[in-house]
Amino acid sequence: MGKIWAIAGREMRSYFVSPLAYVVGALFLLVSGYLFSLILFGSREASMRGLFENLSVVFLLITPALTMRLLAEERARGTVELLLTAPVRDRDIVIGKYLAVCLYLLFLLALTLIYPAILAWVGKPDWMPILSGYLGIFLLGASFMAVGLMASSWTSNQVIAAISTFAISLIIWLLPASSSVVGQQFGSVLEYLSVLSHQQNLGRGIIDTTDLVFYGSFIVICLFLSIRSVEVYRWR
Amino acid sequence: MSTDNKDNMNDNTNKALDRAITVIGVLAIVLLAGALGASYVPSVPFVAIQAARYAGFACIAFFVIGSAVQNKDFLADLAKNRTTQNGTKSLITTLAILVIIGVLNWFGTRVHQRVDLTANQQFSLSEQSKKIAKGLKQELKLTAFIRGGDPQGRQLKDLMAEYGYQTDKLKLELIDPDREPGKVKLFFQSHPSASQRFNVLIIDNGTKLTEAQGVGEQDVTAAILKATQTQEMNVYFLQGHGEADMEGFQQDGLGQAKQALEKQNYKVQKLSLFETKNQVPEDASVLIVAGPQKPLMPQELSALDAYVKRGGKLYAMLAAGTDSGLEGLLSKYGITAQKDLVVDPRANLFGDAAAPVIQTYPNHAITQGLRPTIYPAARSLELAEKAPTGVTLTSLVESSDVSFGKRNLKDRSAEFNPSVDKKGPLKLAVAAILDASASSKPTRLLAVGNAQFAGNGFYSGAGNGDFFLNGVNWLAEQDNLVSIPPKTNEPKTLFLTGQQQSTIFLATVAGAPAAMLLAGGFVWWRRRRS
Repeated sequence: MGKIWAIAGREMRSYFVSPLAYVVGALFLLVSGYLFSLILFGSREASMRGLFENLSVVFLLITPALTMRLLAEERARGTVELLLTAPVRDRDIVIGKYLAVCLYLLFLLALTLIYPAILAWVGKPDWMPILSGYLGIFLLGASFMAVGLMASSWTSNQVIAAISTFAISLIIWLLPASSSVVGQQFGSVLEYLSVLSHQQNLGRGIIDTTDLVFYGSFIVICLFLSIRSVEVYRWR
Repeated sequence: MSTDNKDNMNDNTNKALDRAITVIGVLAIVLLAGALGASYVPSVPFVAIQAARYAGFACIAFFVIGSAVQNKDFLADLAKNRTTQNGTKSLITTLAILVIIGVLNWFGTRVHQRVDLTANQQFSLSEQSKKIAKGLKQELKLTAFIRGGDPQGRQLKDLMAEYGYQTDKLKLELIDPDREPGKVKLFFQSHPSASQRFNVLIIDNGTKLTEAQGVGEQDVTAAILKATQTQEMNVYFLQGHGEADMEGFQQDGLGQAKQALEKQNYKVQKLSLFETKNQVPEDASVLIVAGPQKPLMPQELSALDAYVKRGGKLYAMLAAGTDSGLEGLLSKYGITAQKDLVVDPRANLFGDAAAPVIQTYPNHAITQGLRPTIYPAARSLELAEKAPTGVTLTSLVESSDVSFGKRNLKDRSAEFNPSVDKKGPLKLAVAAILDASASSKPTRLLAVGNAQFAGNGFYSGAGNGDFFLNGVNWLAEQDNLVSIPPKTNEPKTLFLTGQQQSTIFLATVAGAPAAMLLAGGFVWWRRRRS
C-alpha cells in the first residue's frame, strides 16, 4: 500500500507543480460554471440534476487529456523501465497512477462545491439527491479515467491513447442508441453497459446497488486489463 | 508500438499509416458526436443521423483494425509470449475474472436494493402500484407514441423504469411518430381498434387493448389493472331517498367519487329498487347507500336485507339527523347508529366544531397510511358489547377524547352537557366481516355515520377520497387496490432577482476560474523564485 501511495503522490505532485492542474481546473470551472448558471436560470430549480447530466459530457471530453500521458509517456521516455525494474509490482504502478488521477477528479469535483453553496444561498435544495449525484458523477468520471488509463497502457503514443480513450468512451456512451437495432434481448445488455444510464439514477437521488456493482466492475476490469498490458510489456 | 529495428525499416510507411489511422479515429468521433448532437435537433431527418452513426461505427472498426495491424508485434507477443506457461495462465485468469465479473453483474441486475433519497420519495411508486406490478402474472405489451424530446416521454420512461424494478412482465416500446413512421403504420395495421393519438399508453394483454388516459402513475397503474382484469366490477348507488347526487359536482355531490371509481375500473350505475321490483341486481359488486334523507320503504329494506344475506357488499353512509331505516338493518350485526352529532371542540375544520378532523386511526387495511380525514355533521356508531356470532367488527375512525356526541340537536352551542351528551372517543366508521351462517353467505359491510365526507367539497383536499376508495376496494375484495399513500410535490421553484442572477453568473463563470488561474500563477511564481 505504501508503494501505491508513493507512486500516486509522485504523480499528484507532477500535476500540481506544473500549471496543468490549474489550467485544466480553471477551464473546467469555466465550462461547468457556465452550464450551472444557464441550467439554474432556465429551470429555476434548486437542484443539480441537470448540471450532473451535462458534466458527464465535460468529463467525456477532458478525460483523454488527463489520462493519455499516464503510462504512455513513461513508455515513450523510457522511464517505464526504471519503474519496472524498481521493486514495485505492476499492480502498484497501475493502481498508484489510477489513484492519482482519481484524486485529481475529486479535486475538480471539490471545486464545484461552490454551486451547492450558491443553491443554499438562494433556495432550499434537497441535499440527499445532490450528495448521491456527486457519487454518481464521481463514479462516471472514475470509469472514464479507468478507460483512459487502460488506453494509455497500450501504447507509447499519447495521441493514440487519447483518441482511443475518447472512441471507447463515446461508443460505450452511445451503446443504448443502438439497442433498438439489435433486438430486445441483446439490446437490454447494451443498455446495461452504458456508463451514462447508471449515472442517471444517482443524479436524481436514487441509489441502486445495480449501478454501484456496474461501476465497480467496470473500473476493476479496466484496471485489470491495464495491469495485464503492463505485464506483457515487461515480458517483451 | 513496434520494435526498434522494424521502425527503422518501414519508418515512412508506418508514419503515414499511423497518421491515416489517427485521421480516421478523429473522423469517427466527429461523425458519432455529430449524430448524437443531431438527434436533439428535430429538423434533421432520421436517415441522415442513422447514416452518420453507421459511418462512425465503420470508421471506429477501421481504426481498431488498423491500430491492431500497426501494433501486430505487440499483439503477437500477447498471444505467444516468451514465457508461454505464464502466458496461458494469464489468459486463463483473465477469462476467469471476466466471467466472474459478468456473473456478478448478472446477479446485480436481479438481486438489488434501491433507496430513493429525494425528500418526498418523488421517484418511488406508491405501495399500490408496487403491489399491482409484483402481482402481475401475464405479460403485457405497452406501446406509446411520443415525439422525441417530449417531456412526457421522459416521464413515462422514468415511470416504466420504476415498474421494471418490480416486475419483468411489462414490455415498453416508445415510438417516435416523426422518426419511425413505418412502425406506427405497422402498429395500427395490426391493432386497428387503437386510437391514433400522441402521449397515450396502449396496453396489449394479448386479447384486447386498454388505453391509459395519461402518463402519470395513477393513469398507468389503473390501465395496467384494467388490462389484467377479466371480470367486470359493478358499483351501484341507491337512488330515490334524497341520497347524495352521484353525478353532481356541487359541494355535496359525488361526481369526483364516481370518476375515481371509474378510473379504478369500476362500472358505476344508479339503482332504483322501485324499478327493479325490489331486487338488487345479481351483478352488483358493491351497493352504496349515500346518506338517504327520507326513510326507505319496508320492501326496500327487506331487499337490502336479502342482498346482504346472499353475500352482497353494502356500504352504508348514514346522515345525521335523519332516520333512514338502515339503522335497523345494521343493528342486527351489532352496529347501533346514534341519534347525535359528533362535536370536537379541539380537532376540527377551521373552528367548525361539528366537522371533526381525525388524524390517527386504529390499524386496518382501509386506513393504513391514510392522511387526516374530515367528517362534517357526522353521527356516531356504537358497537355491541359482544358482537353477534359470526360477525367481526372493527372500528375504523374514532374521534378524540375531548369530542362528544351531542344528543340535543336543537341546542346550537358546542358545549358538553354531561347529563345528556355522550363523551368521546366516538366511533365514526365501522367495518364488519360476516362469516357464513345457516341463513346467509359470508360478506363484508361498511358503515359510516356521515355521507358528506365523500362529497366533492372534501373529496380531494384531505384523505377523504382515499378513505372512500379504500372502503369500496375493501368491500369488493380488491385488496390490492387499497392504500394510496399521499405524494405531495412541494414546488422547489426559485425566484432570483436580477442582482442575484448577475452575481451568480459572474461568480461561477468569471470569479471561480480566475481564482483558479491565480492560484496556479502563484505556485508557478514561487517555484521560479526557489
